[in-house]
Amino acid sequence: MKSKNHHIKPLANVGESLKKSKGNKKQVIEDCDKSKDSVPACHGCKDDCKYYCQTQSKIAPNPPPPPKPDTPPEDNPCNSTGIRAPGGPI
Amino acid sequence: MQRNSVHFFSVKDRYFAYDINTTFCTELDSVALTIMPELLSGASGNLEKKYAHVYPTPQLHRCIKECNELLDSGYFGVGHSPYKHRIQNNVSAICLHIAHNCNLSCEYCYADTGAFGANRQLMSRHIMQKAIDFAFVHSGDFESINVGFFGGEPLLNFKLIREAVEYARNTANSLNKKVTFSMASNAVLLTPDIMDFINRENFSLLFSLDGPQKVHDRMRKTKHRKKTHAVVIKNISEYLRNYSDNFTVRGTFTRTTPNFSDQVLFLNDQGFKSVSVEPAQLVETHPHSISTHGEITRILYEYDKLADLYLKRFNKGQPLHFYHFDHCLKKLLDPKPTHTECGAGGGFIAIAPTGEIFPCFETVPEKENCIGHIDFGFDTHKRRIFQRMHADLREECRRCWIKYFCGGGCHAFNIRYNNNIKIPYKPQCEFIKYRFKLSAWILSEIMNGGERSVKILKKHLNE
Repeated sequence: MKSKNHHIKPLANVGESLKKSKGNKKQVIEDCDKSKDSVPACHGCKDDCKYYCQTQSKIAPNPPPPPKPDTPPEDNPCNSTGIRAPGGPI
Repeated sequence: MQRNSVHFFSVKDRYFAYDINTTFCTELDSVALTIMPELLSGASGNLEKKYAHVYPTPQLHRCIKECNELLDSGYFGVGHSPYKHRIQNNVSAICLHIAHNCNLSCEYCYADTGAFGANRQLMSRHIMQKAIDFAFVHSGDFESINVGFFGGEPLLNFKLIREAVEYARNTANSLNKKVTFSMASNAVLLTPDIMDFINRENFSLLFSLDGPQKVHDRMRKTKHRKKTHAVVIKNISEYLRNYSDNFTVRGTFTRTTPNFSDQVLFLNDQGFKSVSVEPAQLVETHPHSISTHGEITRILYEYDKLADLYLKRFNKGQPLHFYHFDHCLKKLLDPKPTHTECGAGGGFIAIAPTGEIFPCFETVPEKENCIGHIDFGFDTHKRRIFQRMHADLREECRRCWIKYFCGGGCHAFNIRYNNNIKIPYKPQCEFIKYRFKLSAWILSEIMNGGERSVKILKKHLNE
């Protein structure tokens, strides 16, 4: 690798997400309303709290994993022939 | 940590780790190559101490931190999550075999120079209309469908294409849906009138052109052995100049033209923005097939050469378009695991001039691939074989590291070459793996140029 400062070089855009996630982890909101339960978890108080969205579906402290491929890629090109068009693999 | 979920590979003196499940890839230096496997194996001891005689402690410390951050990210070393395959019953794209005939007689044609092993025939108006009706009836909640025109040479039946466009537009309007069109053509019969029509109707186009004159004319001749390079170049260039650059040019290479990087360069130098050059799909016994280990290795050599050219041209500010590298680079930048290569037989179907339904254009005309008829509907049992198929149902794919990148390969190739949809076609596997590795190398090199270089690459990939 060219960079002497890093031992790993992610090829995807996860680099930015990693930096952001580290930032989020360090932030703790002081006026978090924890009265709703005794376990530290998101109460929707503020989005820079380190617990924010661990139970809700907004910005998670860590970058979310890639989407699960639940459906076949209908709109993908035909990888075998290079034939492609919007809407289908031809 | 999931030790078995990460595949390590090297290419051109670079080392990479690839998460089989998320398809996320990272480059590693020698320190990380030592530490990452340890962490993936769940090493709990003091790694700094263990490797203190090999690397300086600050280096080890930093590397362990970087590796752990990546492992915590959810992108890497996360392990297998069971895949719930959803069967797609609704049709989003239909490929009309509008002409089982061709004006050319290409030596490497997989479709028996357009006849598909049967009588040469054109699709009738009756079949065309019923096929379009069939597609819309089975489109479910898809708001738009794509109607493709394929052959043989579809322009031999251009009159019917015009009618089909009008018929499909009217049908779509009556159902409050949309329709788009596509066509694969050898471009010999393009006239200003046809160009005007396909541009106006916003066709997504694929033109066949093998590259330099000597390569093209060796294979792509008319039935009367007349060369076609000059007319094809003239027509495509005219379309590019007067109408649009929104089309793909596809070339083919064979055992006897293995130096296909020349074809890629030639097509790029014509100003074409989307270039795809593919191996001829022929059975082992065909004189132009690529099937032996030696022939496959020769092709890998050429991909290697093309990767060097891709990077060289990128650094010169003249980036190349080559579908497979472009496609791999996009997926490396934005990993999205996939369990099937395409929607053949599910969202995508092909209709023969007889009205028979096939999973895709590559599976026509073998009767055993037929999954129904537009008069009688789908043969649900046969269609299900294609709809259900995905990488994890193939034994060899299940054990393969790149399965969620390629989705388990092409159903049609597996059937054609191995007579079994579940047995992958090995040359294709070799090509996919090698192109992926080379693309990782290309991306790593481009990333060394900093953020600006990556931005330029992304712009190029989205052209």
